[in-house]
Amino acid sequence: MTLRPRLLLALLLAPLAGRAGLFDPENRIELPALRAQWDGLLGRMAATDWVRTPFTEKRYFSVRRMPVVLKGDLIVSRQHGLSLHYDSAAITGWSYVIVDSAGLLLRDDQGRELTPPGDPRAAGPQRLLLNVLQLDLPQLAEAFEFRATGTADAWQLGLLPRTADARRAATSVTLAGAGVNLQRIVLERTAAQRVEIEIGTAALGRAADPAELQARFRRPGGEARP
Amino acid sequence: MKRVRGSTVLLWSLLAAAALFLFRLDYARRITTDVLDLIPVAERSPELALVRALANEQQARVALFALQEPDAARREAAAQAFTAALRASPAFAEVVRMGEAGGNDALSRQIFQQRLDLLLPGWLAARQTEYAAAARPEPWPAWLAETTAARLETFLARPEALAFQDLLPSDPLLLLPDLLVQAQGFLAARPAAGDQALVWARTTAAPLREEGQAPVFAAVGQALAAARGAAPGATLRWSAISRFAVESRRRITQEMSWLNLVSLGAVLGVAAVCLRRAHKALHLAAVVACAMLGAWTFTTLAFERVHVLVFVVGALLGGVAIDYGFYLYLQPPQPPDEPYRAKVRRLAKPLLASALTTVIGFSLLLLSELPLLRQLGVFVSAGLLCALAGAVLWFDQLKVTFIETRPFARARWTGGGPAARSVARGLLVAGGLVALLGPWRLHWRDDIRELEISAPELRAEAVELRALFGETGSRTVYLTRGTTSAGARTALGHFLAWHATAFPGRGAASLGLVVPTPADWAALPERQQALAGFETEFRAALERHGFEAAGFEPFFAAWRTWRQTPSPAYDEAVRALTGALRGPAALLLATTPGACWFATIADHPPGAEPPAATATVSSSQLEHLNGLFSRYRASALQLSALGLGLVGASVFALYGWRRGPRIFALPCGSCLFAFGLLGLAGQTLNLFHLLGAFLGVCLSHNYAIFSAENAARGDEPPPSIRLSALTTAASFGVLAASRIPVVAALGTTVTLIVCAALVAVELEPLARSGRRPT
Repeated sequence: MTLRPRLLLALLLAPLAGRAGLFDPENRIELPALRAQWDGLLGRMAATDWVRTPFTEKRYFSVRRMPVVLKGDLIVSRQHGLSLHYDSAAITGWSYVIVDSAGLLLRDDQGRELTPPGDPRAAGPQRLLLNVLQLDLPQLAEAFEFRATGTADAWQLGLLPRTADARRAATSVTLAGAGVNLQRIVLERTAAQRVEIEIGTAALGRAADPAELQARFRRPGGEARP
Repeated sequence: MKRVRGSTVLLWSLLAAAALFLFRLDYARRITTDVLDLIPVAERSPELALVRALANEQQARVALFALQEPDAARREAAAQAFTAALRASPAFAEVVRMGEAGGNDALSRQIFQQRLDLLLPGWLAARQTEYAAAARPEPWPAWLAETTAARLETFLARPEALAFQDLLPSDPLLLLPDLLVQAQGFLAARPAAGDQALVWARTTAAPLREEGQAPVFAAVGQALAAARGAAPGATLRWSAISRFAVESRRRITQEMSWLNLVSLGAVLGVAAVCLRRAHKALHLAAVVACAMLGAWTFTTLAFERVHVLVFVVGALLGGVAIDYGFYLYLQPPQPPDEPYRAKVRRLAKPLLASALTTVIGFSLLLLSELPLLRQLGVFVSAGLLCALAGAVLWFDQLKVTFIETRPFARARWTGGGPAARSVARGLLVAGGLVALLGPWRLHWRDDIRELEISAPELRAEAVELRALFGETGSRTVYLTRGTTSAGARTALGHFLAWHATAFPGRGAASLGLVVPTPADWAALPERQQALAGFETEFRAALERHGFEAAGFEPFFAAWRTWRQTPSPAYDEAVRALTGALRGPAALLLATTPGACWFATIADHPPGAEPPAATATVSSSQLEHLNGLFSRYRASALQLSALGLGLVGASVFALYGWRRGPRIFALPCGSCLFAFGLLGLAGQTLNLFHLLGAFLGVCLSHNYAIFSAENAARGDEPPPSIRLSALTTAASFGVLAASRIPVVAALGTTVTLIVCAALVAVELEPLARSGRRPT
């Protein structure tokens, strides 16, 4: 093999090598050790309520050549859960995707709602996203093994599923950040099926006003309303 | 040697034969507590046929369990032990641990396997409608391919796309995602059960039969013991129809015992208090015993299965049957040395008139569609005839065939001045006003659940358990029926169209949507022919929309197989679906030939009932069957009116046009007064109020007859009327205290009518005291 093809191959494998690096067994870290080493950072991130940030979501499907790219903004609340708002409601069919302890709820601009079928406790990637964004480490530790690399300024946290339920949502999860800023999340099922979420600059601590709560989160006593 | 009289031989022979017959009766088989046995087997009403099917089929055999244990590990171990023990028991045919892969997964798998047979016909029909509406120039396969690829591309941006990503290579037509979004009702998310493990089970035997009860309870007991082996603190709540059935039988049996005993005690107590020698009241008990023996014997001879409610209501017979004892025993001989048989001959006309009018009236109930009414008709008619015959024969055995009442029992108001007359007239006018105005305020409603004693604790537990299993009051369940799967599916289409109009914007999900409509199925061969070339067009369209067409090879392989394989028969395709259903999903439809139905779960509380043309009823209608009972009530009303007409005609025939109307006015007026009072009190009436009214009219008729007989001789009403009315009021007053709502309704109505008739009989001489006697 000449140098150029070797270089090309190395470049192609580089992302995989990076991923493999993070998920190498030597990077495995148990929750107590993770807390001991990263608690200052993760603790500060987890303690932050009402995170708002724009995001770009890239969905890779095995049957599609290019990813589906969606943009929007999200709000994470410790009490109310996660609310994703897509800019392109006409394409996604729903303006808001709400994930909370009661499960997954879709809502459009007219207030019509849909609870997708299935067990709410296994709401798939969205549910996993909520746990990740809330950095609920004890909850995540029940379903995932941790891997960690990097420094406080440029870190990567990997999650490998322990349970069948978690494996159904993703075969691996990668979180990458700088300091207290979570910058990227990758939920991977196979090499060809994954969701990459690029997170913009977050605004912290501004709670939702009543109108926003009404529009973007589950309403009290809320069953799905068609 | 003393010569044995014929009447003695006859009396004791009949009593011995009846006692022997009842002694040898198989009560467990012949007496039923199943409320559905109160309704005709060949009932025409489709909703009842549905209820019968549900009661006897799998739906009624479901048992729900919630095992509570705070510690997750111990809870898991306990749930596994509990489930394993239930599965090992022959009393249970199927046990499903909720949350385990099973139920919905199996349903989804089966639908996936049959997706092209079941879902494609409807999908093609919908696309063809769009194609026709769009009026596009391109050929149908090309248009279909392009549209489908575009839909798929749009779908990938939807939130639910991530959940279906593994399915897309096999289902680019989005048959399953479309269905599952529509089907969110029956596959809906369940609330988390917290610290409880939920188990769904189906018993082997029907819950209303003995083998569906005791063995089930034993198996549950053993399973709980096994669970406690793993988690000693585990507690169990469970609900099943068998629990309600056993509890209902226990309560009704208990009710029957105390009602009969207290009623008999009240009747004899009234008699003992009013008779000069209390112990002589036992002779009246003999008359009641003859009535009861005869009623039980003839009813069980006439019907293969008799509902226990007949015997509960039968407690009334004591209060009615004793009348003949009073009329015979309390009538003094005239002249004093009049032989007993001469007295019987003298009293034969009023006795036969009162007995036969009542018997004629109740015999008309034999024409009713309701087995309960037919059984009651035989019970009361046979009981009264036996009471009359028993009274005639019994008193023939006595040396002294007359007993005096105590003075207070025959005391009459003697201060009949103008004031007393005004009061009496005022009371009669007030009663008349109540009778005229009150009935207009009546409301009628029947509920089959009122035939049983409610078990509030069991019901509350059942509601809690159902909520844990996802059943809430904010939804309505509809059942759409048909004699064939195709018929039920067509009706489902009509129902869903009605529902969309009646409840706009409200979702309605049915597993029946998986089944193609007969019209789409019939059109499939032609549509299949028109799809030649679709595969090529679709591959090209997928590539144009950014897909790797090769990635959809699982779909194209299935597509080619489907096109090359002859379609199965409609029923065969539906049976393949239903045959694979397990657990709760299996209860969402039935495809038994002759009794097919689909359940629909609508996202709103119960509201308007679907029209008959949709062949659909809501489960709430099935719970109370008000519509069905309204028809029975109308039928019973017609029979009662006819019976009343016959009674009136017989009175007119016996007593002529001058006395007849006066006799007939008393029972009719008393009945209207009772209904008026109930109407003014805001009481809602049911079929049993009507039945009670009919009985009350027949009874008060007797008072009118005996009162008229005495009036004809210039005498005051005989004390036997007062005693008869008081004993009847006592026995029916006891029934009015029953915990079974319909029995209480019957008791209240008869008590009111009888008391009203007695008051009218007492007041009439006072009100007329200023007039010249007629």
